[in-house]
Amino acid sequence: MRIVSLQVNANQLTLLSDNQKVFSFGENANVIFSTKNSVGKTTLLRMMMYALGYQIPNTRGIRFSDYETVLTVIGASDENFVLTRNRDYIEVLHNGIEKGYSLPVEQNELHSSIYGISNLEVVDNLLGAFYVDQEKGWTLLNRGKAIGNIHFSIESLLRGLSNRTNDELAQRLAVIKREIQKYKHMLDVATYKAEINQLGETAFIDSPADDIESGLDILYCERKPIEEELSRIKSVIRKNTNFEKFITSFRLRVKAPNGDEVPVNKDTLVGYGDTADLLVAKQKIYFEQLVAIDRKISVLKAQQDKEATLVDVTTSLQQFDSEISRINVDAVATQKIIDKMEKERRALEEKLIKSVKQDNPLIAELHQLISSYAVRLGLDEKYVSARNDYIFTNDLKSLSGAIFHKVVFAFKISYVKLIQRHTGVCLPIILDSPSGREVSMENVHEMMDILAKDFKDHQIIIASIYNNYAFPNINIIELTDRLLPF
Amino acid sequence: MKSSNASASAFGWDFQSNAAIMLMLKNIEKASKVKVEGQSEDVEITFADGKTLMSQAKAVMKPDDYSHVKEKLEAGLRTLNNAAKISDVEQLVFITNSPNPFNDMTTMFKFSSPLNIVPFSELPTACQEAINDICSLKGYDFDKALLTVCVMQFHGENDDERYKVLITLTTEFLNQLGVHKISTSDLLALWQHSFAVNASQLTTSITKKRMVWPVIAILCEVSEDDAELEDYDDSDVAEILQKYRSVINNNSERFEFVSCILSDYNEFHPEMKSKERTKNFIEENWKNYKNSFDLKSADSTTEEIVIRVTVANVLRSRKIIADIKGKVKL
Repeated sequence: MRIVSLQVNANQLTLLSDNQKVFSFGENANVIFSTKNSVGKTTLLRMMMYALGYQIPNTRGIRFSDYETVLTVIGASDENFVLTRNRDYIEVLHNGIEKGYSLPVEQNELHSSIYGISNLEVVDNLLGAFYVDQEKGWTLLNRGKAIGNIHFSIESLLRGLSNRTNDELAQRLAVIKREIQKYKHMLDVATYKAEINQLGETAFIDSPADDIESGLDILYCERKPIEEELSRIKSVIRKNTNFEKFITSFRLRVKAPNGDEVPVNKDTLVGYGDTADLLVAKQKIYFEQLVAIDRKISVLKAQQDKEATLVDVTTSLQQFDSEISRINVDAVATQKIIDKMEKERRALEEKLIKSVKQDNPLIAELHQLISSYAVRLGLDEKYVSARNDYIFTNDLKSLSGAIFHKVVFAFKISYVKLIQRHTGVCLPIILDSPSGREVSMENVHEMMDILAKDFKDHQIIIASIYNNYAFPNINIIELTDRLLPF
Repeated sequence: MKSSNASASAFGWDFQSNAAIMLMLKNIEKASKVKVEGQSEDVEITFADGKTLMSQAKAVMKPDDYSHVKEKLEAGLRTLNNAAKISDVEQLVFITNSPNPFNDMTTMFKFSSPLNIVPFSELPTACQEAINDICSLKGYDFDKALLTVCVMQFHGENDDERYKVLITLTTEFLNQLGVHKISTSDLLALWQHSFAVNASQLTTSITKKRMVWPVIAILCEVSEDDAELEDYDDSDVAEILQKYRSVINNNSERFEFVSCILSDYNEFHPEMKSKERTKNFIEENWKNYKNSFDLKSADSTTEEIVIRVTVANVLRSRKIIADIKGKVKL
């Protein structure tokens, strides 16, 4: 991929006629040069990346979103892409077809089409490979932030390049990370709750209205079975009465052993009175219970009516506290869950890394590239270890100053080389101020020499206060005054 | 019955209705009903033979306030004097909660128990003289031999404290019936409510039947400790009772079914001893009652338990009813 030109348009009409500025780049080496600092070299590079669709932090004095950028690049299949970005919307003109993308949601899709790389893990890690920012770029070796919040991870890049993207693992990791986030919010709530409890600000929480409400609920619950039992008893009484009336309606008379004639009715039916009395007594018992409950209900209801007429004086903060204190979260338990999940997250991450490292020929290849460049940069073997997994090192402390600078350079160009070998994409190499403070001119020339020899097919863009770089066909863009005149 | 913030009249009614319960319990065998007249502070008990006990209930809000006790005594005697003119009056009772009904410290010892029922003849001389003085002054001519002075402790906001005497009497009553599974306070509350419900009418009469039948009803409830259930696990029993309680109740309360079982039982080996007879009866006959039950959803074991428990409950209830009715001469 190559950058052809960057056009910056002022969004607001200015009084002056020239409200746009175009920067053109050569196919090979380009140096953005100015003798003094603070004229906008870094801004120009960042604006280029912004125009490419990345989420780039503003530089001092310039808000990218204030401008419309039009970036022309030679992208996938050596075809022309014109990217017009307005804030978070980018329009791509390619082969006469315009397509819009919403950023950052569709960023991967956009880049995938421009670079012509379908593996998203590779696409995700491109910027960190080819762009070395002035601020963070020169300290980013194998994992971390390339610029702003754009991450780079060597494991992810290798995973993508070797097509070992493990969606299942990655998804589980994403889920766990999201859950940890949620649990952390829960913990916040628990802490907040503990705090308001501690301050004794919860006294009002169980408001009288709530008490009445729950009191009523309980009473209605108690009332129901009693009411049911009462109606059951009533129905039995009705059945017994009907039965007795039925028998009595026959007007039967029976003869007692002593010869007396006895009419058959409720007074003479043996046991009828007892059964009736028993039921009446039962009814009485349940009725009393019902009355007692109803009395309590009406007392509570009267209170409720009284409450309702009182002005609601609770503030929304009090209301919030009240709601929070009703949430049942246990800080200790939540912390335990978080700890457990963090453990799982680490295990998953390790597993992901392992899945990259196992029997991956790319590791040896990358290591070989890095080592050979390190040697050409005059770096001793003690800085770049012979062990393959050195490329995953976490040990940056042992490296310092110029050596670190050179190691970073070796890593970066190796990434670009590796990407070129495995995807066929010739990424540009964009370096912001390669001549850092502790790097000698000689070192810089060593670096540039490698670029000139080994990266002939790559576009090189360098921002520097020097312009004595020995590249063929060098295109120098000199910034003299303000980057943008509007 | 909550007594907090009770106004004087509500307190008076509470005392009066509890005095009525007390007098009923003291006369439970002879009595047939009690009437409470709120307006005149009367408590009138009618005995089974038609004779009556007329009582005047006078309450003081503060037990240590003796300033009005003599007026209350005089008012009480006046009403009792009128009541004595009605035929069939057997007893005249002046009942109060003041520990010093005669406003005479020297006679207080006689009324220091929780419940003191003192016939005129046993009153301290000073008290007899005080009554005689009132009567001769006012021209009351009732027969003093009928008069009893009764002091019942009845104070405090706390129910346990205020109803101390009633709780003791209720417990004694239940003990006499040989009943242990009924909560004293539940039963007392039930009786008290019988008065309270009608408090607005200011006249309530309650029969002995209404006082005693709740005891029977509570005793007749099926419970986990039914003999028929002792061979089964507690958890099974609890489940069956929970699920089939209304089936069991419906049948043991249905007169048709009850009558059928009792008739069968009457004809079943009258020579046997009751415990054995009941056991054998259930064992041999429970299957005959299957048609009275609609237990489609139950398995055969459950069906058997439910039927056996119901039959047992009918027989047991009959015994309880006869037993309690006999004891209180209902």
